[in-house]
Amino acid sequence: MIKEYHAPPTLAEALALKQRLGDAAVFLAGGTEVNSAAFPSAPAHVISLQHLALTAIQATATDLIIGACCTIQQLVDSPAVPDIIKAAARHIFNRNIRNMATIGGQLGSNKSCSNLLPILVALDAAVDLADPAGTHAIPALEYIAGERKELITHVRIRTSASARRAAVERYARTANDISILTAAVSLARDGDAVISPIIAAGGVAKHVIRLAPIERALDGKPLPKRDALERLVASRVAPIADLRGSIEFKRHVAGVLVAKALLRAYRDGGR
Amino acid sequence: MQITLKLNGAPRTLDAAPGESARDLLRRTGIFSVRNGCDGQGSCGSCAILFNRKLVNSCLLLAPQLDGQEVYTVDSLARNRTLSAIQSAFIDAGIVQCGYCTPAMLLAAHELLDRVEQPTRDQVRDAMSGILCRCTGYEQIFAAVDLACRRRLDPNYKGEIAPEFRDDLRLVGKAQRKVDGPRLARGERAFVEDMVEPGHCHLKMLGSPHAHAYIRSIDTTAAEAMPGVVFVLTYKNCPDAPYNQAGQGFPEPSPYDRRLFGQKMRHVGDRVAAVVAETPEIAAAALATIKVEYDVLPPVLTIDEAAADGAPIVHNSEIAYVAGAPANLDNSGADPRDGKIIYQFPIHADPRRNIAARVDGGIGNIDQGFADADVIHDAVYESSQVQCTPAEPHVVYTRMDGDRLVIHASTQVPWHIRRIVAYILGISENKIRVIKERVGGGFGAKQDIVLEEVAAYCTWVTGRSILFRFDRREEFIASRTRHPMKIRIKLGAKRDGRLTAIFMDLKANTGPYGSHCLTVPMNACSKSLPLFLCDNVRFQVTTYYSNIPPTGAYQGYGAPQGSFALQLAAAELAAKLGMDHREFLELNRAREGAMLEILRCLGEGREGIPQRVSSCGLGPALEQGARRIEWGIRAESDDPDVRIGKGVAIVQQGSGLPGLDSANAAVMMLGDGTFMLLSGGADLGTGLDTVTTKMVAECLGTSMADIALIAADTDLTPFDTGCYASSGTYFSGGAALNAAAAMKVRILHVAAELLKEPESDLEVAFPSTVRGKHGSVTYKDIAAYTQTGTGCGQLTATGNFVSDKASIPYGAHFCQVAVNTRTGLVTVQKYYALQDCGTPINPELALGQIYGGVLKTIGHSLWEEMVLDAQGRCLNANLLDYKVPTIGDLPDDFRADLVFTNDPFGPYGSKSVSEIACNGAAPAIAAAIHDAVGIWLRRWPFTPEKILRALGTIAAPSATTAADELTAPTRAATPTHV
Repeated sequence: MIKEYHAPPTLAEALALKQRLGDAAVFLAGGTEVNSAAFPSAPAHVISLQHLALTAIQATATDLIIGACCTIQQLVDSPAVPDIIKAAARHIFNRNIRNMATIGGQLGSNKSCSNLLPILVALDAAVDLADPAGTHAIPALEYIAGERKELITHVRIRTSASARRAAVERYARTANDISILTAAVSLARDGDAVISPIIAAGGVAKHVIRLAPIERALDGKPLPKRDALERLVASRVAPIADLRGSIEFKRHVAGVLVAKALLRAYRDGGR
Repeated sequence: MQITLKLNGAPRTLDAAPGESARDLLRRTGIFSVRNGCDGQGSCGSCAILFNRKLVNSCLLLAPQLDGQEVYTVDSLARNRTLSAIQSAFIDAGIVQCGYCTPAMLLAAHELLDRVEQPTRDQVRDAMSGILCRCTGYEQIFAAVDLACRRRLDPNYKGEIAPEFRDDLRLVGKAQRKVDGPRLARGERAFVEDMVEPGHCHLKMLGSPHAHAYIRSIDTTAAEAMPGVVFVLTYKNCPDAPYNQAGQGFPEPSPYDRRLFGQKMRHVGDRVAAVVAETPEIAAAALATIKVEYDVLPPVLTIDEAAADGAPIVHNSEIAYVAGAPANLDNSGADPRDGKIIYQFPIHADPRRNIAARVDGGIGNIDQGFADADVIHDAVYESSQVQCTPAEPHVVYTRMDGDRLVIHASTQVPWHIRRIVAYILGISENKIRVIKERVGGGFGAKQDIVLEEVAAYCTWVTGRSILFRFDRREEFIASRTRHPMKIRIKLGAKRDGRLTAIFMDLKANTGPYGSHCLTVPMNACSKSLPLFLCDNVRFQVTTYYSNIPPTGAYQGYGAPQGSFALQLAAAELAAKLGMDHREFLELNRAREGAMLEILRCLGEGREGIPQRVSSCGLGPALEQGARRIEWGIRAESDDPDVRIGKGVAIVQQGSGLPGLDSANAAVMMLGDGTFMLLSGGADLGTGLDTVTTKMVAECLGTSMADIALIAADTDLTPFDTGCYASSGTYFSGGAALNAAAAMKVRILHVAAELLKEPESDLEVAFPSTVRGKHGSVTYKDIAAYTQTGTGCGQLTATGNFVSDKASIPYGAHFCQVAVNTRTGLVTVQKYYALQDCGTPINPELALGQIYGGVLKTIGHSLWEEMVLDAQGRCLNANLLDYKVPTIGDLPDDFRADLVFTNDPFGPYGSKSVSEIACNGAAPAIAAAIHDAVGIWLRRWPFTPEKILRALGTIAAPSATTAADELTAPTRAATPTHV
């Protein structure tokens, strides 16, 4: 039961509040998670980020810097955002949710079924984390895998990463269903050879992960045929069975999805 | 805390609790248009607002987030009472049905058209992507938005909204504005929850955590002692009156096999205790203090488990019959904790063997029929449990008015509620008034009395006004669902394709109680078998009790399951014969003039009435549909993984229950020659109020505006059995028309006096005039004459409609699907539903009924399924994990067409259209999947996993299903979106 609503005017005050209240408080961005009846815990305090001016999207010479409170719809609408991120953002079918949910909230809620996190991982995005001692950047994957709790202020994507060949895929039963599986890849090509592929997948582990053994197996070689790719991926992922499918079904679909993303990125750059 | 915002253009300062949702704050502020379909999960969009010009779900916003911001709700769209172009367009396009999600749709359209002048189909889809609607099937939204665009430029633009029928009639067969549309589009108070008054109490129900258990002990003392608790009700202090919750005509075929509260728990969520308290928080806190000890029994979940030797007995009750008790009735083994069962008449039940009802019958000689066959097909078809999911869950508000009990209900059956509540309370019916408010979707779930009687009893005892509203989880596990069925079909045919024998062995799972346990499974036979003209037909029906969530009526009422089995079996037989499926249907189908003898064995617990087919549009429906879908021409995909196939099914329903249903209406002439229509018909969003109003206006030569309607209020309007079994247009419409016809007789009688001409020379003429050979007189003058001190008295007339005819609506559904052999995903590319509903009274609303019925059942065919664990707990009792189709799931090319016939018996030649469209999707899609990839899927839903297994892409199904392999922790529903 939320007893107090805080809307601090500065980042420093927001961080001080959080430090004082500890686990009794959560940061509030769009609200689709924290305010949902499905949210597992009921914090006594919420600290709204609405006054912290974290909603800008800014392109520098080297980076695209996205404020943590940018909504998913802002990503779709902003001319500065690369198409491949827009494509992932559009995989969140529900416009009402896109109008509320934020990129920071996607990272903060850190769900395996997120449609946006795989491409952030595949583009090797970084997140700016703030605590009272200051701000520092870490890779998005580290944030995800480490289940970090610091406040995210920005997401950074290197312009060079956005220029790589990339593709995103999702698998869901209906347009508005939670994705059962997601995949995002980025890679470079040297002739026929795949160079430094990054393969991120959701729905195959507790959080979005990189399929590092497969990346290593593919690096520096021509991309195998589709069937071989599918088998390779299916043999290396360990999804859990749930309402939406059995393990063997999910393994199969993960193979199909990752292979499709790799082939698209490899052949036509994912465009 | 105080917040300041701009609300619908005006600055407001409001008190907000820190944890309160913006939706709750807005409702407290008098904004009723923010509805609630998912209890704050953010999955339905009914509570949408424009927040700083963006459409968002107000249930996901905290009230303090509104501080300093700008909020618009639908209440801002109309200028005074004049509808905006968008509002009028949405009503006129037929997209406003129950109206619960209409405010959200209108805001979405408003936001879209502010952003894009002429939106594309994709942009409309995107704008509406967050809104769940179960009534409409979304398709008419595209036309509505288009109409709105045009009306923004030209407010008088009419356009072609729907095809028109019957040149000989002024209003019937032409689109006219739905009479309740403006009120719903303005987001005004309309639904039960909008009617509550300050100071009311809240009722919350403690549900059983076990699917099958006895209560060993229950201690409610702490709850009763809690400040703010008004009343606690359990099996210990409730009336000992067995009844059934099914809203059916008395005497009901459904067994009286429950009490308000029982000592035995028969499903997860079964009633343990109700708490009435001053606030919902106190009620919830009190529930948590109730101590219950259970003796847990093994649950019975499937038909096979229920039928097994030595199966746990769901109802080991003391049995009594009102009439027709069998000679060998033996109650010696009954357990008093199980309570009683009373049968009004025999339904061949055997509860000790978990058999809730049985029936069999047939015509001709089935053995000879199979002996004569050249080809035989024999297979079993299964359907899973699906939920009605009305946008508005079950809700009731009860209060005392002096010494009378008033029930504000969201119901299809006001009179059945009154009768059943009077019986349970042991009071006379004249102590009770039931007012049907606008119903936020019913679909059969609201044909049953699933919460009204508890609130009514508590109000009667305490004198307090009580609001009782199911949350979405309760709606899934404690309201009504489709009976799961297992249907064996055996068909025999000659080499030329002519059917020689049809055998249907139907087993149904009624769950914990016998609501509709005889009639839904029977209807699966009676609405499928007569589609084929065959001399040798036999059916047998057995319904079993179990511990799954309760079942009951759901749009189609068994026909979707029966139709799936029989129509798919026909497709398989045609394939075995090497015959074109459509030709097979054309050869064997019902035809006008044919006598349907089989219906004699298919009455609802009494002898049925055989029918001669009075009108039948099947021929043209099959022909037009085949042409549109290019039947017989194979479509190819560019993607080598994708195979495309086409499928067809023919469908029928009934038009109410001949010999059982009765509807009544009254018409009164007012002082200025306009009329009041009092109709018993309970419009549940389908447009029935518009049907009755239109029929009366047509008959009396007035405009629809001259007819003011009061409907479905047991104090003010005459009796009507209720809105179910596709009876609305035929019965309630028929009663209104009969009342109008009786009024016309009275009008002509008075006019003859005034005009001094014989009645036979007079006729009514639009507008509101009687014309003779020599003179004419207006209704206004007639009213003035009759209502003075020297007149004959106010003109009033009543009409009743009963019938031994049940004109059968028919249809043919065609679809084209694309099956991805690598992913198992099925895309419905084209769906054409061609329906014969006689004369469509409101063609635009008839189309809406068809789109809605089809999309619901595409959902059942492909995505929807309640998943239970081994303990009978539903794992997806919410709108995130149970997939109701959204606008993103529509067929790419979706088209409903009305095939005109003029039925000789229905009012103005009409037949029903409300349920029939639910019967085609499963068999047509299954047949199309076979056409695409060569597999027969005999159990819905046709999930990608089932398809991949059937194709051998992943290993064939093991003995256990995917769900069975799961352990409890990993099976927890996936948290939430994003």
